[in-house]
Amino acid sequence: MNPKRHTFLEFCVEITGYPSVVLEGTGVVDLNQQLLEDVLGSTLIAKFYLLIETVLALSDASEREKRIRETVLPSPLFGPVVTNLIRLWYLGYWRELPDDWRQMTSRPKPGPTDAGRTHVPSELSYIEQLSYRTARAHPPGAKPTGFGSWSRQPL
Amino acid sequence: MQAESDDQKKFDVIIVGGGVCGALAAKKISAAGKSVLLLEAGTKEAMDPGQYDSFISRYYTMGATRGSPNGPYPPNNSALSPNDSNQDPYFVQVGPQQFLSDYLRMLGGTTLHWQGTSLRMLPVDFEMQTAYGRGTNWPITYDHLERFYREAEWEIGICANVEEQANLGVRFPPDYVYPMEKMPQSLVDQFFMRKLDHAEVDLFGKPYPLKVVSMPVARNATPNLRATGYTPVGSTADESVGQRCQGNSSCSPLCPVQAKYNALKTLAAALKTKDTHLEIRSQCVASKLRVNACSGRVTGVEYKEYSVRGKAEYTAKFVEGKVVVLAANAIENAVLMLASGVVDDSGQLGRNLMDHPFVVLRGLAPEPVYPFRGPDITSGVESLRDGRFREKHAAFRAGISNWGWVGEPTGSVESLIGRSQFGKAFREQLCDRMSRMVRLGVMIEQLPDADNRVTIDPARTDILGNYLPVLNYKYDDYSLDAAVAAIRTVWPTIVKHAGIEDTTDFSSVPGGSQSVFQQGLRFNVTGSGHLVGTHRMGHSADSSVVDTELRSWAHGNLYVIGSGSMVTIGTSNPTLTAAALSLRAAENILKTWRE
Ligand SMILES: Cc1cc2nc3c(=O)[nH]c(=O)nc-3n(C[C@H](O)[C@H](O)[C@H](O)COP(=O)(O)OP(=O)(O)OC[C@H]3O[C@@H](n4cnc5c(N)ncnc54)[C@H](O)[C@@H]3O)c2cc1C
Ligand code: SF4
Repeated sequence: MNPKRHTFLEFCVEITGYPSVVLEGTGVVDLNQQLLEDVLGSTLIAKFYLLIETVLALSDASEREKRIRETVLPSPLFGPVVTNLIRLWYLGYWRELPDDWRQMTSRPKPGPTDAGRTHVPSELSYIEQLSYRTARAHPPGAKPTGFGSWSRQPL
Repeated sequence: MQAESDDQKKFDVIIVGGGVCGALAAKKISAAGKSVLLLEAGTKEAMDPGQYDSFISRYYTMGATRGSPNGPYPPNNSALSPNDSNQDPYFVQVGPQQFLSDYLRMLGGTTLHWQGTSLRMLPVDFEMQTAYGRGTNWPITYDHLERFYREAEWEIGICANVEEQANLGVRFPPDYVYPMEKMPQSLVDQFFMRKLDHAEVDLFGKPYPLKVVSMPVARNATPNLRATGYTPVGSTADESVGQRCQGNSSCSPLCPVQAKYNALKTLAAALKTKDTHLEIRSQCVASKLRVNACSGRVTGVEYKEYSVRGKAEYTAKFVEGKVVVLAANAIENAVLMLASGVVDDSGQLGRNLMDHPFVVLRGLAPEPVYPFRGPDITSGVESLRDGRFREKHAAFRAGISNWGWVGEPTGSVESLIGRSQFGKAFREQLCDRMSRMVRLGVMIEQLPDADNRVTIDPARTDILGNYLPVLNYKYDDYSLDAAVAAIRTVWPTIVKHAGIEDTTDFSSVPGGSQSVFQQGLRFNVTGSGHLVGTHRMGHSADSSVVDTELRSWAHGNLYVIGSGSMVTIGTSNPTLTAAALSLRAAENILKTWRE
């Protein structure tokens, strides 16, 4: 198992607003972590884990929230990465990071099969995207709610 | 290259096109013992359960192009479908406006990605000229078609409520029931039903209520206890699946369980019939009808058979038939007839192309209505389908969407990201916004206009050398004035009664729409996928392409079926009417045999 799995998962809890049991239940935690590691490469991912560990070390939830808002999201280096993680969780796709981010990090432009390209990593990524769940609905074409369920309040 | 018949066999009937109209005709004619050949331009992949499942996988992983109705289906440059960003452009749009509707060229046809709304036309829709001095009267009345509406409703499998339709002016024989009870109406519908109970609008000095009515749809629901002997037809992959709509909410572009009707079901049933005389040849694009110059009779169909999708290679073939039926849809039928030099004394061939111009209105309900669940349209505001106002502007109906706003959830997620939201606050705001989204799709009647037309140009062909459809198209004042009434009069009334926050925004033009300007108002219009006109039926050879039996005036053994034969479009989605006309034509074809 990835030694940083717990760190990654706990940080995803902070940015998605969902408890870890829900994120685990999607089955895409490992896939998402692997994708992130592939996109960032070893040097950057190590820095990223260091940064988020400083956030997770704060015992108070509002302190963690404040740190993300004031330090992580405004960071030119990791702000776009975290935003993309939110996209990955909520919409089930990875968006190619912008040119200026690549220039800053000297990461290569992703090719047509590289992890960093704009793409839906797997069917499960689509099916488990959090947005529809958040709206108490389901992604079109997956997880149907059953005959007539739409005429009643969602469960 | 002139291909000779490679068939020992001469068929009683050759049908071009394996969509709903071709399938219904094929089933009825082959069941009567006639030998039928169905030529299909696209592949027959959808009939293969494994391939059908691969469309679903493709749909899940395709990302941004997911919204396009043709998106999940493999691109096919050998038999192109229009408005699909994954393949070569198909329509040659001459303007002044774009024709923004599409269809699917694959066995099963456009019903693979249709929505399944299956309203009958109103009796008055057949007599628009007499009633309102607009459009053209049909050569037949509603009552000529009524029996075939019933047949189509049972063949396709419609769930609906007779009383609610009758209240709108649709006539049924006593005791008639649809095969299935109406689809359960959504929470979104219930919200509008409550709020619009007393709402009415004034159009040219006359009040009209804004009545929310359940929608007849081609989806499996609870069989009507009075519909003796009816069993919902499940998926062609596995009949035990799809016997009820289970709320996948992806009917367009595809229903994973085929609880929504598609033409594969009719074809599968026809093929299963004992001693069937139906043969289907897919990947065979009909390119020309061969006509005997002396007798005027069509002797058969020339077609191009390709083995590899997207390659410029094909084998030219010819097959003979005693009767030829074109069921390739309004645009393709016109292209094929034009390519064949079919005689048309009326000058109407290819003309009078119609669609339902479509305007999207949206807002946020004051309370959660939990959209993004169930089939898209289970009700609509239906009370403006007819009225004296039709002397001045078009009638329209507003389908109530169960799928929130277009472009969601991406739109809301991006907007929250743009405001640096994350965590619990993000989650709460997203829930609040998405669960209150409401959207109306206003579908507007369009009059026949000879300048709206399909033509061909020898310089514009596809990789097999078949003609691309060249389209001239525009919206007229009659439709656009109705759009203005919907936006300026009807929508604000709904907004007020329902306490909706109006978020309709015409400042940018989303893909697939075009901007128009009418009565000082700028708004966006798109198409509905409803191809009507192009080979209208009529009383005489000098005013129409086909007679009341959908038989070509000039070529006695050529029938041209589907919505292209319709004279006007009214406000109902056209497929049920096209299906009824096709069943009627099939009956007439069999009758000529007996005679
Ligand atoms: C997004 C969308 C939603 C829709 N929703 C609704 C709705 O809710 N209600 C409604 O009533 N209608 C709806 N429609 C319209 C409906 O889908 C069509 O009216 C209907 O499917 C047309 O059936 P058809 O058999 O006439 O033609 P098609 O379904 O287009 O079938 C024609 C067949 O002919 C084949 N073909 C074409 N050219 C050739 C050739 N040269 N040689 C051999 N074969 C050929 C094609 O491959 C195809 O299989 C919708 C359309 C779209 C695009
Ligand atoms: S809601 Fe789902 S199950 Fe029902 S018809 Fe649509 S896609 Fe099929």
